[in-house]
Amino acid sequence: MALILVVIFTACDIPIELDPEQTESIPVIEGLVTNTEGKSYVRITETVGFYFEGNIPYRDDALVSVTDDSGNVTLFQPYTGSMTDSLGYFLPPDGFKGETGRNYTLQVLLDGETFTASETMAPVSPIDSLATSIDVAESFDPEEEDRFWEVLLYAREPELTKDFYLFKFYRNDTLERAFENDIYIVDDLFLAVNINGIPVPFYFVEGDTAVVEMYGISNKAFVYFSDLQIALANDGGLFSPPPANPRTNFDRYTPGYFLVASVATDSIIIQE
Amino acid sequence: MRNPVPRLLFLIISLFSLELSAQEKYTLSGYVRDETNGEELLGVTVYNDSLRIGTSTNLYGFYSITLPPGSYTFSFQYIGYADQFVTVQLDENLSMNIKLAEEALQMQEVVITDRAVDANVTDIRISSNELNIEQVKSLPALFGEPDIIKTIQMLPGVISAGEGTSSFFVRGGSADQNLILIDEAPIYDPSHLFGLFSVFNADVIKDSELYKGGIPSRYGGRLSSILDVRTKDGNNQGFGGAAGIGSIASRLMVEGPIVKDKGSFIFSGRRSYVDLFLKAAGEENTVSFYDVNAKLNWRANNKNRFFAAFYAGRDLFNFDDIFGFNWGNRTATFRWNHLFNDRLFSNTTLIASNFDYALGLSDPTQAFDWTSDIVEYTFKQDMSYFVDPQNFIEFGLQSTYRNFAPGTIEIDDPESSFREFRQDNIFALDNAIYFDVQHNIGSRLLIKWGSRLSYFVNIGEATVFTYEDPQENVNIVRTGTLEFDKWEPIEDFLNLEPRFSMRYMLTDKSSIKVAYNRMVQNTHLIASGTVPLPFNTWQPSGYYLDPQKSDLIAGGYFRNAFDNQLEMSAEAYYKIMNNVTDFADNATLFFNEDLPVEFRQGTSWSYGLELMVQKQKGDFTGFVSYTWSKTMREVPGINFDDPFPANYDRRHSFNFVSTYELNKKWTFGMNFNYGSGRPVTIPAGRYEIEGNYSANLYTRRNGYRLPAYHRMDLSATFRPGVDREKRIQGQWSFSIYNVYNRKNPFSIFTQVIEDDEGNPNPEGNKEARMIYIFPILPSITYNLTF
Repeated sequence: MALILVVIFTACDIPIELDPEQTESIPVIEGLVTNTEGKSYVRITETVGFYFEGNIPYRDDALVSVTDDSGNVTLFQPYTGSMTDSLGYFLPPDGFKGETGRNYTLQVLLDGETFTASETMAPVSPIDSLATSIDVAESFDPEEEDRFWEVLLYAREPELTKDFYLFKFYRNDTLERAFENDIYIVDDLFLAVNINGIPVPFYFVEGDTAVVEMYGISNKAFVYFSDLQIALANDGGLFSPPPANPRTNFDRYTPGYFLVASVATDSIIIQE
Repeated sequence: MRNPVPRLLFLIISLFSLELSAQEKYTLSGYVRDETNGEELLGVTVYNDSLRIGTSTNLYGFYSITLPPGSYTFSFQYIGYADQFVTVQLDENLSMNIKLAEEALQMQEVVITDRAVDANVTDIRISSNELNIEQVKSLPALFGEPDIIKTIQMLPGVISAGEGTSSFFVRGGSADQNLILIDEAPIYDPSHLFGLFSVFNADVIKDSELYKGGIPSRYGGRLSSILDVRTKDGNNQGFGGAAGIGSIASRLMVEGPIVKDKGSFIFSGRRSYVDLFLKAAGEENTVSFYDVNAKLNWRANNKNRFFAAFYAGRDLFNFDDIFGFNWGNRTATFRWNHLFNDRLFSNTTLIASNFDYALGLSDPTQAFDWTSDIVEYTFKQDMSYFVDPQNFIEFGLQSTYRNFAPGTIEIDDPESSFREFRQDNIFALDNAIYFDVQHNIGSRLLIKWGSRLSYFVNIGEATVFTYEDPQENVNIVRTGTLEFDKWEPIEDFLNLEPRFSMRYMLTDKSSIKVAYNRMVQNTHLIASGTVPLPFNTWQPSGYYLDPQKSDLIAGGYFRNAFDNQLEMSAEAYYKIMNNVTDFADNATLFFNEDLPVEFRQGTSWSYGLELMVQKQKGDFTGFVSYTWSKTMREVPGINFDDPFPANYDRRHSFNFVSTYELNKKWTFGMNFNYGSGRPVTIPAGRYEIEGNYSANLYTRRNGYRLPAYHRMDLSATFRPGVDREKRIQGQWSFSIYNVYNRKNPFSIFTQVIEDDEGNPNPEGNKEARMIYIFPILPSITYNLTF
């Protein structure tokens, strides 16, 4: 809301040097198990000081396993290749995927401590279709040249079940969002049965490929992403709630989350 | 709790016995009014010098004094007015209305200060401040709009969270713990433009008083303070008015008699016109606010008076005709003052108050309308009984019906991807009886004691969910539902709220005062920010929320010097607040069907020292205030269950407020404020998550202090035609806000450092930035009175 004041009365901001309390770094564990092959992973990094510069330190010396509710244990191995972006990731053997309705437990043994989280894979209904259209208003004055195509999502939301969704949107294989701190989550409390063309929150250029991933997530995961979103968006203003760390599903505090979610994917090439 | 009823019975019996013992006495009573406009004057001292006894007019300008037969001379004294002496032969009950004439002041406006000359020392009131509205008008103001709330924020014991807000924090209480009344009707959100201005239009304010402690038992319902604002009745002698053109808003006020001496009206409107400029500039986004005040009053005879007062105000925001929101208060007060006899004054009041807001999006696929409101109706009966000069009794009752509509989302378009959502309305009955007895014991000691007995009921119709663990807000497990019929009690709360004040005169010019009060708050603000938003909702005490309670003890030394020109006070207080309503970390407060799982009620305590020197008379007037205070909170589940400083815990607050009248034409004003930094929660570190979000890691709540706040403002008021006997008088007001252009901290936020093109750096390196709102801001306002 401070933003509204900013808009009206051109408030200004200047950099300020904080003197934060120095805290020990703690591990940040995030994991994903989905019903799609090649998408599951665990990543372990560490928290850093607020003014830290450079690449975030990662850990590859942990013992990582995922156990399903029939007792099948899958070991996740640290990535050892040459892509620096992938360091800190632990990957399952090829062919690993989860199943909707089954429970998975992640166990991470790190520095003699065990971090455990478990979750049941929520279902997701398929995306009916994607459609494209030109946003006429945007086409008169696009923020970036030729980016005025909208992608609209159509789906059915099961009325009788309680569902939560996380959306990820890709433009030409790159994950994108409208604003730096956006997370796209929905509670079906506010959704009608027919999702009748909800627009992807950013625009495309003719010829782009748009991909929409719709994850069916648990209530707990919804709470986590919602907390994270609020924490990221907190402007520290007088109207804002006091900032807090997100609530996670690990038994020992780490700011990450073990997400077990089924995913529905659809894509479209932008054209008339 | 012990049954308080026998005590009240005792009181009523003793009231009659006082009546019996007073039979051989006669009463002088009546109203005291301003000679030129007929406005009743509140707090006028009526004093007999030889007996050294007296009384003062009540909130409606009525006085009554009962004495044995004889000849007496009374003085009627009031700041800004010439003393008037009246000699009466009291051998029967006499009714006498007094008209006081203004002192031949240089300033042409009526100076209404609602106080006797030496009230600072002699009055039993402690921890309360009256605002001189004329002084408020000549002080520097943001964008030239005089605002009583901005002056209140400078009083001792009051803290402001930052500039540009209409919230204030009294003795460690949060912003929702202030009961803000306009003509006795509560205002739920006093802000315009998110707090840049308050809803109080200075043109119509007659009198305003802030009670921070020793709160009379006729007031209740909030923990920390009562701001009682009363509007003018309208001139019943002749037509007149005022108009103003400012840089943000314009004002018009007209008043006049309906029948001379019998009835009058006042009407006032204020409207901002930023939106007109924006429209003219081709801007699609518009912002505006308005206020309308109206009052009619009628004196049927000396025994019966009727008033009807209305207020309506609203803020409207509109962005590109797609997204918009608005909020506003509406109040109506109907009042009947009746004299049962010369000593028993009755005030019967009917009050309606409404606060509502709406947000809407008109984009076709996502259109919705979100609305919420709170409505209440009150019946109030107040009695003042002037027993004899040594004893004064007030008693009464109040009954309120309150309806909270927490939120509805309506979808107009059947094709919409979103669905309607309605939260059930919540109902409550808020009842209280009260009494206050004031005794003079000897010539030095004045004691006032009393109590309020509040009975609050959360009633149906309602569906209440029960939970396996009502404090678990992630895996919420409902175990059942309780259904309540219309009017069926869900939960009720009976609370005795004792009040006590004492004044002891040390000398003619100095006194000590002590006060204790317990306050109970059954209406809880559902908000986790420091300053409430207009979009916050309220909830009654009920199945999951216990009444908030506070106990405050205050003591002070009061001294006047230089023929009452200089008023000094030093007060210390300690306050403990139980069941203060707070919320879990990461609480979801909007559209949450399981809202009760987010409630966390804790304890808060505050103590402080307040010093004030005030000068009310002469060319040079103003006050200096200094407050040292500390406010802590302890809430289960927050900050590892450890105490933490409240968001508004400023250790030092210093204010200097002054006006200087150079001559009839020129008046100058100056404010200076200093406040030590307020606490905020800053990150202890950061981490990367979900690919490339750079999130902050938090540890302690409110562990860091913002830089100190300080600011100086100047003003000048010029009345070019004051020498000439003209009906229409013009006046220029020049203001400079933040004279030395201090970049005062408003808030701190963090962000990923961006390059020159605004792209965030890929490593997620972050910086902290401080927002400051107002640079140096000059403004000009032109005012007319006619």
